[in-house]
Amino acid sequence: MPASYDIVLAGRGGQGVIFLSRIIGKAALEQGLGVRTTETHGMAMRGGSVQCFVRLGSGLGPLFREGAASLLMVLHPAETASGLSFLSDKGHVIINAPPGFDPPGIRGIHGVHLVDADLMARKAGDNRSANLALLGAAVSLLDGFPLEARSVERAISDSGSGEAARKNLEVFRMGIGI
Amino acid sequence: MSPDKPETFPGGGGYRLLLGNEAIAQGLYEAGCRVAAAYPGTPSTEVLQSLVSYGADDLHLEWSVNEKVALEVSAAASYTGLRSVAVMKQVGLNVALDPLMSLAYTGVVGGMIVVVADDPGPHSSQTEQDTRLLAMTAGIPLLDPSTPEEAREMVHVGYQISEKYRIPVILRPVLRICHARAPIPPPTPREAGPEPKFVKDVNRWAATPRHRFTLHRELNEKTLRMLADPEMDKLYTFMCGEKGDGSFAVLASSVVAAYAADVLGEMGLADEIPLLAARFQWPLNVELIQNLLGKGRRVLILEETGQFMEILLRDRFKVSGRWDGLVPSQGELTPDIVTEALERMLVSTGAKITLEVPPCEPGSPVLEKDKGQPSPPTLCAGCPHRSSFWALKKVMPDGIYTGDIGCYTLGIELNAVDTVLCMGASVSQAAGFYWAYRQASETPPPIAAVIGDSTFYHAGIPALLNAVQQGAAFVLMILDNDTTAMTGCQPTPGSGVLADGGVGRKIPLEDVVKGCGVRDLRITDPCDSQDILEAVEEAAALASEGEMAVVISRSPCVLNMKERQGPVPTIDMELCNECGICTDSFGCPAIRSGDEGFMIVNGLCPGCGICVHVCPSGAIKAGKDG
Repeated sequence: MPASYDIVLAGRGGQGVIFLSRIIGKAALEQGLGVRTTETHGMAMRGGSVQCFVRLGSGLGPLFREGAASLLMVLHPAETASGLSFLSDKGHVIINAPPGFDPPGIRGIHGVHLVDADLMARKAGDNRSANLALLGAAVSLLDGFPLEARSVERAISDSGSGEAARKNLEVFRMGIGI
Repeated sequence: MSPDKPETFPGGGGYRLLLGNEAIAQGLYEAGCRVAAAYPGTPSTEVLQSLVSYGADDLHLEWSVNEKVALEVSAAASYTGLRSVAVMKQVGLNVALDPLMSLAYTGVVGGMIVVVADDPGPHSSQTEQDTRLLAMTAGIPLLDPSTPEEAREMVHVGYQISEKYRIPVILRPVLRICHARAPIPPPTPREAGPEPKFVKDVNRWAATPRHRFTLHRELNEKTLRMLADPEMDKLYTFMCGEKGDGSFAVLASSVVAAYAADVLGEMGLADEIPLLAARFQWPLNVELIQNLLGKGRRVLILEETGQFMEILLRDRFKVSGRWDGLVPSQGELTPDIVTEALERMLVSTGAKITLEVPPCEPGSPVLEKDKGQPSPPTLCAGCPHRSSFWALKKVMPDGIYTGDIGCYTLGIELNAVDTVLCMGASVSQAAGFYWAYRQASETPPPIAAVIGDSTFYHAGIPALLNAVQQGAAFVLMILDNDTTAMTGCQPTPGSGVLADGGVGRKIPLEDVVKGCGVRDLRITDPCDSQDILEAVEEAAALASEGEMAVVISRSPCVLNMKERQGPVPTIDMELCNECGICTDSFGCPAIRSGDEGFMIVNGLCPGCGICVHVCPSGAIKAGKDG
């Protein structure tokens, strides 16, 4: 068991990658877990590739080594390969993609999970909440995922206005339900 | 501090997950900072933004017009005994270096901190310059935090040093401090400060060269006193391996010290290899460091981004780092690079240490062909700048386009930006190109400078005044979206809005342009394709006749639009000949090409409608309302 549970989030500017890292971080705080995250701003936004790094548990620096991550969450399927080098050989990948999608570069990884998060977000009426479906899937699918549904829900309720938070919660629960 | 003892953060304890920049703002609030001035720039911007959120009544906050002004405003407040701060990114310090160098001599009264955010990578800057070298040049003390928690604490330490030695203090968070989030304890009550009172002392505050000599000697004495101050010694602490007898020691600073602590822990070497974090970088207490690390022991230096401690440590034969190639000389020092440097050091010192935990192995080698290119940033769908660039290229297809710093640097993707040097250089370089051809008695090619409103106020004004006065002639297009968009939409002098959202005096761009002596000025709406084409055509014709012609292309930033601009256009594939102008040369991210031809993505298109006029085949049809 590594001292920290490391997560890479990969997506594109405008998809709420940083928002997702904040929800994960707040939920960890809620559970009394150590947490550090880092993100890219500025020129890296505007639709460009965005990566966020999240360390749960121990760790002083916000970045970690290649091969250290227990989980890679991919918000945009074309960004899958960009985060793979950080994944450990026992790690899992959760990809926002419809069933049957074959993302490049994931051969040989045992824990690949496709979640049609965009569809779930559309059902809830907020395209930008797809990120939370992936988090719901992580909570329900992965053994050893350190976050509990209850703390994530509190983090979501605490972040954003009533209507937006309600939709985010709905999509998170759809993600859990898969 | 030990990496193998994770701290826990009780959810109910009021801890907040804050960016390093927000942690610094909390420290400034707590320490009773009374005047805060900044110019936005990644990765420093959130410091002032976050400070606004505390709503302190006894605090003047401003987005200054540039970093030099911010530093001078902050310095004068400190002369009156108040605590103050100026905040900028590392290249902003270049702009503010003039007052900073002089301020090192005059000193301050109230505590003054200059937050300078460095950008190893670089992720959002022109250079990877290392602010520690400028602090040394100026003779100004510099604090170098390793975590967001330390960044907050160092605001308090910085004010104490500043007031004890009457000198401004630089706090240098690197990007992975600024933009890392960590749990921060709840704010402590705001410290009360003195009432402002300026005590005249002309030999200090207005020192002539004769007195400057005295002040220089005083500065040098301050440096020596700081080095002898046992309080400063507390800023050099072991993060692990204090009693370790490994074959070498590590000396690190900034976030790299945190990475080194993590990696040594993961490698099982935290007890063997001493890791000393040096948080007080200038003046660097070399004697203390060498005593702590043990004379004669080899030392690996891990620091971002330049060679600093490496140069200052005297015994070159014991020091490894950049000079002997163990550490790369450019780019971020990531945990992987730190690991590699440590492994090479272990090998070269013949260390007999068996690793408890082997280094991580990447789980799945990614095939080169699968890696793909990272998606580049683009101008937003509906961004009015896109239309401005399109008009420029259409009217002046063979022009030299001098660009500037902001979102519109992304005009590179549209082949509408040929040069980007620094803030304001679009205007002066356009003049330089003009004179280069003119002095050779050649007709200058069409030249167009493109600069955003905020950047024009920041550094474009003297450049324009100069160009007009000298008689240069080119097209200057000022993209006026009424905001500093790249850094997250801070107000400009033209917005008439203050940092806290209050009403400020509005200084219209056109008044400033006319004040610079420009006779030919037209204001156009880039969302009206006919209007902007005509404006650029007229301006280009005038410039070719030897007149400076300014076009203000005015439309709000799409990020600030609450409502859609209009209906989404449609593409008639019967008429489309798939030339790709809409996706490549115009470059709108809401238009996609696929197996079934070209389409406009409904969710991405804000309905600016410019593409309707851009399509040479008339295949893009205006959408219908409703």
